[in-house]
Amino acid sequence: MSHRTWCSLCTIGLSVFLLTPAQTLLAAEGPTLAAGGPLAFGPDNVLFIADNGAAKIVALELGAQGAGATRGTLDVPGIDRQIAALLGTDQSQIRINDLAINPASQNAFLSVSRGLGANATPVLLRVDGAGTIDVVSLSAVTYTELALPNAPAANPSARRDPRSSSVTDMSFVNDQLFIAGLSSEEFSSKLRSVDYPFASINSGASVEIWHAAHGRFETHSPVYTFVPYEIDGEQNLIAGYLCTPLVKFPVTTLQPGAKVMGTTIAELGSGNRPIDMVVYKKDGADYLLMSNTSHGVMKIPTADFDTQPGLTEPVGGGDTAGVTFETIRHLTGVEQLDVLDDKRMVVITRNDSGQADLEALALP
Amino acid sequence: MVDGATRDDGMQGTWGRRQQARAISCFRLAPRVGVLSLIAGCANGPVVDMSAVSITLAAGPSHTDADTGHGSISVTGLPETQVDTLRSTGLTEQQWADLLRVTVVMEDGAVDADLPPILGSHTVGDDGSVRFTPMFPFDAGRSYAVRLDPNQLPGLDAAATDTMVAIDAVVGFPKPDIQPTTVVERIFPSGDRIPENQLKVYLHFSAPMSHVDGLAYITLRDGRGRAVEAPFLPFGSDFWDKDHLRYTVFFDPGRIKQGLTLNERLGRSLQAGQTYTLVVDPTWPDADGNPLQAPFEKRFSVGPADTAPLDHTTWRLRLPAAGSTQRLVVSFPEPLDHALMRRAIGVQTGDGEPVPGEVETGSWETRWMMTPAKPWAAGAYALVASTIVEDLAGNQIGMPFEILTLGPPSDHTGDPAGTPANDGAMGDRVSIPFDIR
Repeated sequence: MSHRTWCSLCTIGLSVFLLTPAQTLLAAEGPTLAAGGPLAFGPDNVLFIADNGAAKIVALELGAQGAGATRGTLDVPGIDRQIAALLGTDQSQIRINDLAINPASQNAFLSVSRGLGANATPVLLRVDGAGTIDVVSLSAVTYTELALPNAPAANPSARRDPRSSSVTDMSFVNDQLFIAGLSSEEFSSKLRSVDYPFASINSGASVEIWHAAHGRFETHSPVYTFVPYEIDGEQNLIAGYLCTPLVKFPVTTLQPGAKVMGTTIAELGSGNRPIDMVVYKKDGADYLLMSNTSHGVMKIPTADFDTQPGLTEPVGGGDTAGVTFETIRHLTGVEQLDVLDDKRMVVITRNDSGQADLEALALP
Repeated sequence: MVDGATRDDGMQGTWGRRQQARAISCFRLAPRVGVLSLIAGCANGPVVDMSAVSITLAAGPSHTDADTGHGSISVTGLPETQVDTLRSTGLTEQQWADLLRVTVVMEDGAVDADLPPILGSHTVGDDGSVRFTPMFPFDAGRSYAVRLDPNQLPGLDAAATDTMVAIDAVVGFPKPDIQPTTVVERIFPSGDRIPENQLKVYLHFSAPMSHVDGLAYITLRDGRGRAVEAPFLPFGSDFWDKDHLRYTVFFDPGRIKQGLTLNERLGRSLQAGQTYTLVVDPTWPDADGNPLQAPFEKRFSVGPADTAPLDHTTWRLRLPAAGSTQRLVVSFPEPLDHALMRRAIGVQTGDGEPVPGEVETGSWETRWMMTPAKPWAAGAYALVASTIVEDLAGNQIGMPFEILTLGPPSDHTGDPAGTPANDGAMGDRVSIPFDIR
């Protein structure tokens, strides 16, 4: 039996619902987080954090806390153990949910859970260029927040459980925050875009992404991570699906009422989940760097993203097709990834003994 | 010396419940004789009599506003002159940490000298005690190492420093002795027959569970008791409900969808004609860190794959009488997904107003029943269902889990060839009108 992958084309069935009339959001101080999820930096030291416990996105105006004493990010071996020690617990009780580099200070920000029980506490940490780990105090941070809409319900008495979906990735570009999420009830992906500053309580666009294959539409497949990228002057989102097609679709198509067909530009192998992806430039060329649960870290030149035709045929043999990529062999166990500067990235890797290390490494 | 304290501040957190906590070990390791020799060796400097010093773990309430009631470590018995000097000297965080250092004893037993001290605040109380309050509550059942280094006291003569013996203690709150009580209360589908392409299973627990990846505690065994290889979607920490009472187990769609590599290599996780048992390991920790009270098993027999979309025209309604609060009963020819049928099916009046009521499911999720909050008024109604309602295999209203191709794929922008739109919004729904008389 040939090892074929039928994940060859993705279709984006897109529709939009606007939920509530616009209301002005006022900035306040001292946000309350039920859980700390994915992070994304916006403009001017604004850090977006997804609160999957309260189904909201909080925009933190970090101000002076956006920078530690030393610019940059220094390696911290055993980062989970160091964090556990600072927070007064064991490393088994620490979960690092996301990493984001502040482009202004080049400090690393970590979204962490302290504890695994019902009283798990979200903690936001900053690592600076001296390797100093500080807790970012939220008590004096000015913020605005955006409530994510409840899951749709036809039964007016149904339990409105906003936690049936959780945010898995966010990205900010051109005054818009894009948000991807998973549902614990529906095997599908929601992609939402909202304007920032949050001018209104508006769910923005909710996009059902259809993942199509040769001969079939796989309508139920979640996007796990994505990154904005400009292709031939047009802003696109490059999305990584579960098994693992890479799909591009123009941001301009994310409009109310639109139905859009996206393009699968690569098939990167099955039995895999993308974890994180970034775009960077090296020697005059752009690359997409993508970490995966099973297939390591892939370096994918973007030069052919524009011309690569949508994959339409089953993929034979080795599971992969479309734009070419290189697996970076020396990068293993990468759980978190972000670009530090034009030559380096920051990764959190976990070795075979279970230790997590934060390292600044040269971009491959 | 063992000290204890009653926590009675009702704060949230690990110690959120009103409870009595006792320090499991709070003792001075440095022998008094060492302190005496220290005093003898400091003839030209200020004498620091540490003989009365003790270190205790108190559960609050404490003596300063800075104390947040997490429990704190208190040092008493310092000479009055030293206390006065500490009050008048503004120590930096680093200087405080050098004087009174509190570190975690990791679960592997290591008190790693390279680990940083716990974040927290130091204060000097009116009673002369020095107190350390952690930024986050001390964990119950965890040990904390405390070192008081008198050489770091401010105002000492240079000759007196580095000559005194530090006082070490290990403190901690005991873990409450709670017997395991959490169980798997229900599982959906509740029936014992599922299709070969079953999409997901819901486990409902009697109490909140921990934030761990539940897949480590779930096994699917075939009829001969052998574990099925990789049956589930391999990331499992995201599929809790808000209260951590319900956990969703997705069968790996890579094995369900025809033509995918995993499907071709391993086949479907479930094979028609066979029986399987879903086994829940009782070591799965609940939110308090306790194991389940008992293991849980659910046996299924497996039928053929179900690839047909849901057809709402096959649903049958049993109508209540006007003026009554009888249940409206809707029967389906096959079981539906429990979570979605509860959420995404409802009743509206002829004017489109939602009708509130209590919804139940029954007969292995082949029935949906609603008891109205108020007696039914005679008139026109409609049963409404979002198209996201699914059967056990993920087939939705008008749209199967796997859709047959709709023409040659292309990357143009446009309507995907008449495919049923389904954005999860309430705009995509079907309705079945009925009258109550």
